[in-house]
Amino acid sequence: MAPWPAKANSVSTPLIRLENVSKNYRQHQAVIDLSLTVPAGEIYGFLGPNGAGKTTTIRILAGALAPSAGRVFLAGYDLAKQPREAKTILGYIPDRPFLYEKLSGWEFLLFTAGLYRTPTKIARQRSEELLNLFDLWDWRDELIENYSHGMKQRLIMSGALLPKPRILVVDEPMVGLDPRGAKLVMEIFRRLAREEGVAMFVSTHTMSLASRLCDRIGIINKGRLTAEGTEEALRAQVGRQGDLEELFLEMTNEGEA
Amino acid sequence: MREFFWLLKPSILTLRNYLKDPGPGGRVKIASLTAFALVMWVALFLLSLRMIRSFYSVEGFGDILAYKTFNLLWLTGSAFLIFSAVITALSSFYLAKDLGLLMAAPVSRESVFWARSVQSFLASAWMPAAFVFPVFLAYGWHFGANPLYYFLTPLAALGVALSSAFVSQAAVILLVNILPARRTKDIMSLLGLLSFVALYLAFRLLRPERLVNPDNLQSVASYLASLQTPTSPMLPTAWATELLWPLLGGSAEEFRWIYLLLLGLGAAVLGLLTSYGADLLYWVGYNKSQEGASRQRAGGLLSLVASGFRLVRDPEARALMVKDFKIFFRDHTQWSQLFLLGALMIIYLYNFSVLNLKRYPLQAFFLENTIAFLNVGLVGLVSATLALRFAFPSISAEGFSYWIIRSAPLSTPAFMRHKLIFWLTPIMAVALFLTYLTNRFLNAAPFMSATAFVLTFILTPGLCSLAVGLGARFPRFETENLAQVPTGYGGLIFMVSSSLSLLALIGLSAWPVVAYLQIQRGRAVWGLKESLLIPLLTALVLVLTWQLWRRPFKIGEASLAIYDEDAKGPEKGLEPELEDDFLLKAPRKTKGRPSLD
Repeated sequence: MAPWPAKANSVSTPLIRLENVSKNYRQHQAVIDLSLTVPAGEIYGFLGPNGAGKTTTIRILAGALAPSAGRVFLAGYDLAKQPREAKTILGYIPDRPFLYEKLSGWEFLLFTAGLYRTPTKIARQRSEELLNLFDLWDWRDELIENYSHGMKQRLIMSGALLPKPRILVVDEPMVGLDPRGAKLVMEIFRRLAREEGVAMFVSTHTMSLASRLCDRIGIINKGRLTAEGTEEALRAQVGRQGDLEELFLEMTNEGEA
Repeated sequence: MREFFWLLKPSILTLRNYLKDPGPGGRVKIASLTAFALVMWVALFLLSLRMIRSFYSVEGFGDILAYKTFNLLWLTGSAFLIFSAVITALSSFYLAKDLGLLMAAPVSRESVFWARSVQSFLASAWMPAAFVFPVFLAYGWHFGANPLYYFLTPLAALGVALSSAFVSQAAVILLVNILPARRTKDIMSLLGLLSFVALYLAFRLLRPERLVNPDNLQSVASYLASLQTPTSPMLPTAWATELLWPLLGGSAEEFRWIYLLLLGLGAAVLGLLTSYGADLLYWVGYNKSQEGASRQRAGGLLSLVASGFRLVRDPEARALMVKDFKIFFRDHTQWSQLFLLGALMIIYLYNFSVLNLKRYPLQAFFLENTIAFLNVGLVGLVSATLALRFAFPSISAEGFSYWIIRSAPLSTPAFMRHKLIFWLTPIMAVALFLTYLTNRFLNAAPFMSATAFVLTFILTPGLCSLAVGLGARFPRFETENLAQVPTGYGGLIFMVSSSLSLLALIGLSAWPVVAYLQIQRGRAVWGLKESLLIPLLTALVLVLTWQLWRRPFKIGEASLAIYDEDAKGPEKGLEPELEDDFLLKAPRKTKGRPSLD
């Protein structure tokens, strides 16, 4: 695969920066005063119980939802003031694979390339690479309505990687994937972070995945970031040993339930 | 039985919750839709009353005409219900998303079937019932019907509706065992649409205006004589007619209970047969429906035609246009509406081709040019209809995939602009084509032809912009059938706004056009009044069309930029101002809250 165009050299450069982000739905506060950074080349795991504010945060990061307060910077671009620049370097993989069902996989990738203003020749070349990588080449001319859930999820990943993003925002990456697909995706994510310096923000409920994949973990509960750090740092914070699942339950007070 | 009622509960609770909390602007929506329905009912009642009176005034045939129309009303209502019940039954029995959950639950399949049968019946019957109600009322009013008529009409309607719905449901159970459910739905929707188009064309091409021409009286008399043949006595619609017709005379003497009994028995027998069919075939058909339809592949002629979009230089615009073009022609609910467009154009042009203004030689010039001028409004109405059918739902057409647009480096105005250009191009072509041909049919003066062209040219973008803007202001991303989007609240707002705009445009431009024509014909001279009013009114027309082009687009843009898919509307907490003053103000963005554009 051809190298990413704007590979970040320094892991200390924060590609994702959230400053005091809050989101209110009428009386309900989904996200409260959230601040965090993710440097280039890091995979940041974002964990929390149901309704904690994970998906809201992800959608704010992806530009699909405006925050009620606070600011989001992607590679230094203010998402509110420079949305086009910020979104050009962002890839977003939602948890639900809603796609244009009446397009084929190949057509969908060319459409995505058009939105990112990728030249046609490069778009075709990248689409071929990605469809092969995600094992969808033989299905390229089938309409998406004929794809399985896992195939749609892999196609969304192909679309997100097509413009070679410097930031990848992923909501529940393994939903609908079979073990082979899950392994493939994990390898790709690791390679993107280590070799291409992509900053990744991954929300998941799967503790084993977070433990194996993520460099740093943030735990959100009732809209607030309650803990952040490496798995070791979280253990030190809780003051006990155990795997990530036990730490998570302890920190979100669900262990007693 | 308890199970059956329990299965109806989600629908009842959904309705109750909606009425309790209809969401932002929901009460305004309910109130305006109710007001609109009442106006429509009153209009339909008055129209029906006028029609019945005119039928009754035809000497010798009045009675038979009124009777035949009464019977035809039952037949049409029943036929309409049969078609719509097929579509709703297919969705309720086989395609609804919650069926998997219900089939896995410890409830009997009979309960599931009957709960769905009731839902399907209500979904298909409410619209024909709403339409025929004022017509039956008009019959009763005109003839001074016996009070029993008003009591028995709803009962007879229920009998006919139940029989029609059972026929549809039985047909669906059978069809799904032969064809895949999704394919059956496609075919039936298409057939329904084609029947409507055929009926519409047939009615117009029969030229009913000939009935008022004395030259054709002989053929009319023979036509009326043919009407005296009786209708099939085996149909529930005939029983309903026979039950109610004697009561219209005011006396209950000739009234026969037997027809009420027949209606009840007919519905019961059809219900039993449907139940028997369901026992045998519903579960088998349900399993077949889960196996999926035949697979459609990309490529072919459509891709070849779409390659013409290579001429569009901007890659972003090209990507959106190719996508919209391909999806439009692969989705039968979208492309099949082209039949409606075709029928509309044929009838439109036909009306002008049979208009014989030479019969009035002294007023020919005046008539030709007046009609050519008013034709701008009619072409505007055609453009508004096209914009409502195609441009208005184009935002909602993104469906649940709208997240792709929102997370892409594409601004909301740019996205809407591409939608506008995509639909404005063909609608403008149709509008100019109609203007050109009708002006030729009318033999309009060069000045009038040029005026009609200019007015159409500046009006059509405004109407398309209004459609795209309101489509963005009232999007329905969750809809499964795009053809239903124009029938919602936003569609109603569009119809009212576009009609008012057309009236204003015609009203403002009428005086300058007439004044100029008079001067040209030497019937008036250019004075101070003309020097002041002609430029002023022309400027007002330009301002109006410019506002129509800009304002709704801006309102839609501001609303869509803060749309929250979970709230199915603008994000809560960022709601636009009240919906009833949407034309006056753009949605407010609270200070400090970022816009994504």
